[in-house]
Amino acid sequence: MTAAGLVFSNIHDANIPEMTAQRTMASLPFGGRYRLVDFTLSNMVNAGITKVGIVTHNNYRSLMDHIGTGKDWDLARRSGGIMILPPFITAFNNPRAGKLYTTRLEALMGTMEFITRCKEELIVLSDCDMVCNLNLADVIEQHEKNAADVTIVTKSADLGRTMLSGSETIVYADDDGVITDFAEYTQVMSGRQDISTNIMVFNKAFLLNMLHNSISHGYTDFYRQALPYSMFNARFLIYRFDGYYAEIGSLAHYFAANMNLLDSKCRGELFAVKDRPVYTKVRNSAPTKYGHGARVKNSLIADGCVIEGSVENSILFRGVRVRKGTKVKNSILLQDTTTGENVSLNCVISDKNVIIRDGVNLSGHETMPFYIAKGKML
Amino acid sequence: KILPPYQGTHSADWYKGTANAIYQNMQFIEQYDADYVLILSGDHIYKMDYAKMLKYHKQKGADCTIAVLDVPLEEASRFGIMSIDDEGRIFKFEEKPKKPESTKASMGIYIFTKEKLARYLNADAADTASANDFGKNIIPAMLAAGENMFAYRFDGYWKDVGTIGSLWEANMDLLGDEPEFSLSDEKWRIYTRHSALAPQYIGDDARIENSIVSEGCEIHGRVENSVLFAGVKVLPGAVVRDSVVMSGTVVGRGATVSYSVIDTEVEIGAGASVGGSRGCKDGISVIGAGEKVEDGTTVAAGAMIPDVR
Repeated sequence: MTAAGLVFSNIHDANIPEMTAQRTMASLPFGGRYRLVDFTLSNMVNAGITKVGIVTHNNYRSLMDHIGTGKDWDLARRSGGIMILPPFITAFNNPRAGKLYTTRLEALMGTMEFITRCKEELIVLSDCDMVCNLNLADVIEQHEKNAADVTIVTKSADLGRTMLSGSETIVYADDDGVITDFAEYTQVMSGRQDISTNIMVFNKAFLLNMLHNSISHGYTDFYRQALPYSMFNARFLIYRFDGYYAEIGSLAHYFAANMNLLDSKCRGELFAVKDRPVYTKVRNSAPTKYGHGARVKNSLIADGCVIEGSVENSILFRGVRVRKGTKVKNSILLQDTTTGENVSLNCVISDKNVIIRDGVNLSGHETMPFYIAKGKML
Repeated sequence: KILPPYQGTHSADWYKGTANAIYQNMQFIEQYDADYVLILSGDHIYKMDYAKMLKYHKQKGADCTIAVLDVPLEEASRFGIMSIDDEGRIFKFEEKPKKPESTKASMGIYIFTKEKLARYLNADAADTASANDFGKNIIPAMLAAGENMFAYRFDGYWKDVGTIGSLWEANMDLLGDEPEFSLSDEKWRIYTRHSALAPQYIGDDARIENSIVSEGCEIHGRVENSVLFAGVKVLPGAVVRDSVVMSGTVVGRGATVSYSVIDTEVEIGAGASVGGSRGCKDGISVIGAGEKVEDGTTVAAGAMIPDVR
């Protein structure tokens, strides 16, 4: 069976308000040269999906610029390809006619026309708030082999020891892998549980039925109403993913997930998977230049940087300039950030085009990094 | 569009000379119905706004405009030298003259008015004694016939990378606080093919100074005064200095690469030693694409592997 993809680009924007003030979660820069949507799109494209709709809500200008024609993910196609699905505000089947939708279910309802018109028999839903290299082809294969109506990909986590964003959904399944219940995370839950990655494979007909049914009954919530109420006489299966998976649920999550890339094993699991590369928009940049006083250790450096100072345990995006005498430690500097001389940065996340003048000293903490918004000058 | 040599209706051969290459591809030029033809060499490093040269060509009513560069008198014998009057008109042209009469060297960059170009190429092709070369045949023929030939003066960095030495130098010119040639000029981007490689990872034991490192590299050793292309790996303990290392090459543990040009996908074994000290009299060492230098071997200064000299 063929599958089409449906991507929610900013359903979790509220988790990192600092960085999603002017962009969708999907366009959140990550790992020196990627954006979060690259992982989602690459997972889909590597599974042979050639048609993808990206559901957007607001602030999607940089996402559109990043996606372009979809060429960099091999999605610039005559048949299928990638399509941005901006919201309908006044469509008659929008329950909140006149206003933008607010929930996942409402967003889905707004894409019913797209789903109906898909020739593909399967629809794969995914969010853009996670970093993982998932073998979606295998998920789809299991879905078909086990005659599922819905397959939900989960990641096992110890609730007490994992950094949570608070918006996780726990999936309960029996020994045969059949899903029995869903529950939204609350603080009283504990122990090792299967957390939904929000990556799901649906039989298209089943999905449409569920959506029509939700409209008829006035449901507004996906995990609390639409899904559980359509589980009777249906086959919902769980797919447990055990590779590297990072949910970007807060600024602290964002910081940690980026820093994890300094570990070669993590990089290998994400970027060195055979036949499953992570595609991204390719840009023209000169290579990075290291000056006479450059001291760089344990860092990930993108193209176009000019480094004259010291950089340790950090991630530098494209075009970052670190001038003489400057010490950058445990920090993430986004595109075109420029430092003057003798600047000291520790646990800092600086967004694009930030200018940090001579002698400035900034320090955050790994659980509470110091964030500098786009274009700010210090 | 790449135009390889093909079996034409009248003449079938590899390209005999620079002019022959254009002659065999006149169809390509005719296809675009161009009025002017700009001919360039692919082995030069420079930044030039060709639109300005074309404007000059049109202003002067030229049939042929040749871009020229001022070279030191001692070097002039290596180039095609133009003698120019006050208006910029070329009245004499000498290929590699023993006694150069000017310091204006041809850069091998030409703009022709298409009709004239076609006429001279056809005439040249019919001449079996001709080497079918622009510098040796076409230009002198046009000059002798009194065509309007003008010199367009170019000021700026220009390097012909036709020798190992100049290729190495051109790469080194990118380094330093004030490089001779800057790749990061926002106003004049250099476009090329890029691949979706991961950002470069610089390890805990790495030490990089005065070097250029490209995407996908993994550096765990020392890199000094060098240019590293995409996906180069420098393993712990390795030292790369004063060298140009092309994409995909791996420099093994504890190996040393010095004053060398290493081509793509080369494997330099652990503990191997390639090249001599910078500027040494034996010259730059060269390792060809895909070669493997076994663990512990020494490749002498100035050596070439494989030796095709």
